[in-house]
Amino acid sequence: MTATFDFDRLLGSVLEEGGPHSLPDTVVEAALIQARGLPQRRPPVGLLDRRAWPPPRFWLSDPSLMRLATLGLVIVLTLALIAAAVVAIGSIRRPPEPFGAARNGSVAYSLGGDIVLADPTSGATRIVVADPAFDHDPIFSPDGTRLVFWRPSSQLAGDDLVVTKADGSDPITITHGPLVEPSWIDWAPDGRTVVVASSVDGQPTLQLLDAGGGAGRTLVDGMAVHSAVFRPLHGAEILFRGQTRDSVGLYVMNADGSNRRTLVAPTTDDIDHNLGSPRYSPDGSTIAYHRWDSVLREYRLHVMAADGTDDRVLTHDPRAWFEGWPVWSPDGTRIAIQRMFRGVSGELSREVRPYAIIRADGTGEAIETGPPLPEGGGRIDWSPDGTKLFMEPASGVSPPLILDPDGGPWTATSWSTTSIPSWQRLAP
Amino acid sequence: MDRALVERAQRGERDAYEALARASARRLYLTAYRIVRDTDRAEDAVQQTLVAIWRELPSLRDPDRFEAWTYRLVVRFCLSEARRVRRTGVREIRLDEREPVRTDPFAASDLRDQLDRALAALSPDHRTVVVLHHYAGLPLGEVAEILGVPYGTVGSRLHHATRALRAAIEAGERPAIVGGQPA
Repeated sequence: MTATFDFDRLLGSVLEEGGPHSLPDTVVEAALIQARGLPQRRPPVGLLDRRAWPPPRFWLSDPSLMRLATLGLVIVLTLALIAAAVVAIGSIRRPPEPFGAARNGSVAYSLGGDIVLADPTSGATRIVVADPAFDHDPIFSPDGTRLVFWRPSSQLAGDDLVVTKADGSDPITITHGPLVEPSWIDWAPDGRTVVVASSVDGQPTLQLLDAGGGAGRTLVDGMAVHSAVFRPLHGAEILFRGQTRDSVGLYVMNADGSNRRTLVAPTTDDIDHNLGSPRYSPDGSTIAYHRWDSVLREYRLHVMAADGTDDRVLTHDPRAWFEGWPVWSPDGTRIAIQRMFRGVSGELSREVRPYAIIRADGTGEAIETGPPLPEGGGRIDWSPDGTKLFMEPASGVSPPLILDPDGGPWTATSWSTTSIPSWQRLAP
Repeated sequence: MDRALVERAQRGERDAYEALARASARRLYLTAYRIVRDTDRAEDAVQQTLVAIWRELPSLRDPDRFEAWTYRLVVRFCLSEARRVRRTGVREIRLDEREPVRTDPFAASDLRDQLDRALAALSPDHRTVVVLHHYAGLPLGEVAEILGVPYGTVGSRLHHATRALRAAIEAGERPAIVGGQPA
């Protein structure tokens, strides 16, 4: 068929006519209300800027001012010494083990280009990184002492990765050239490296980056990786979901990229969703993931040994056509999953059930917790001590929720985010 | 946009800011929707943009660049939304992919539907360039400034996106996803 049309005109017309034509007033009003509670961010006057300091003759001309200035200097130095001592003492606290239960620390997230820490108990928040760049998606290291987050590159298209201390200080850029369309990131258990999936020269790539800014290496080339997780407890292996144009499979390799083995053979069935969310148990012995059954036409939750053997359905509710996106509890005794049930006539329902907590051995009944999820589901994570679940709806239209894994009441946080929150792990 | 109004808002006059916000909201929303193609996410992006306008306005050096600067903000929020959804690994299981009977995608689909589907299949970065240039009517140099990328990068993205869109409607085939990973 020969196309005889004005492409530019057609494109303009499609763009013009597609979608809604008005914005609900409530959106604007909500923004104005939110802005009323916030100060404007003033560009700082640099310390080297003459305007920051009165001229020296101002200080030297008045003896009383000199005495005050001296007293002030003594106070400042004393406070600095005290602060240094506190930091020194704090720095010798033992970090938590990289896996298993730990004590709950702060929650990190991004909002409006800033990196924010929140106290999930009190609701108090503080901005720890307020760079002019649009920073986003912070993740705590397993020992809770550092953050990694994305920062748009100032020179080229793509993002850089920045590592800071947990308080946002001492930033280090650990990428050696911006990463285009990053899709996955995870810390190694020892916190020395970070694995990241992105696109390089148009090709999907999985790289291992030095968290101190040293040289990195490419682990996987030419295969899109949507999740890559280090194996507990030693972190010597990486489990990943690898997708090509036509198939998807589950693989494991050494942490240096060598010795790649297939755990679940590549399948051409629903490559965008199948074999999703593979996750190690906290002791590294078992892998959970979801898998499409083309005969039953359902997604089932699977577990298998870390070497890919003994692959089986863990548990199944006959009402469900989707059971997946598993997240292990820190002690490895439970797994949180998302479910979708069939309708009354057996049809596939879009409604996402509340999160279900199941026993890792597959016994007992599932416990539902939290509200029904919006279309698209949500993202969930356990608190480091395993007593709570943090849930963020995928739609982002409601604030994150704190859920009770035993099915008790849930609470909404007082803060909104533009990223998936990351919970800091502290030593017990 | 009234330069004096922008300057007043920069000095912290809230009534000036609110007038700017109300005047900009619809423009930003229509642009955001065409990038994220979801009303909830577009509303979210616009709300965040309007708040960011208040907070960041003092850092805008040239009040005459207000409109381009707001495009920069809303694009960043839109792309952040797109990346966030990808990173969750939680993706909606599309029921229509599970239906056993498929309609013939080539039958009775007019060009507009094909082009709209092709737009949806573009990566967010490519679709953003198309929206800013062909919908918002911004010249490529301004698009480059808004996105914070070199002019050549914008030209390249637009070239690839246009080629994919043309191929989709001229051949009647489902377009390959241009760049990036499927959401």
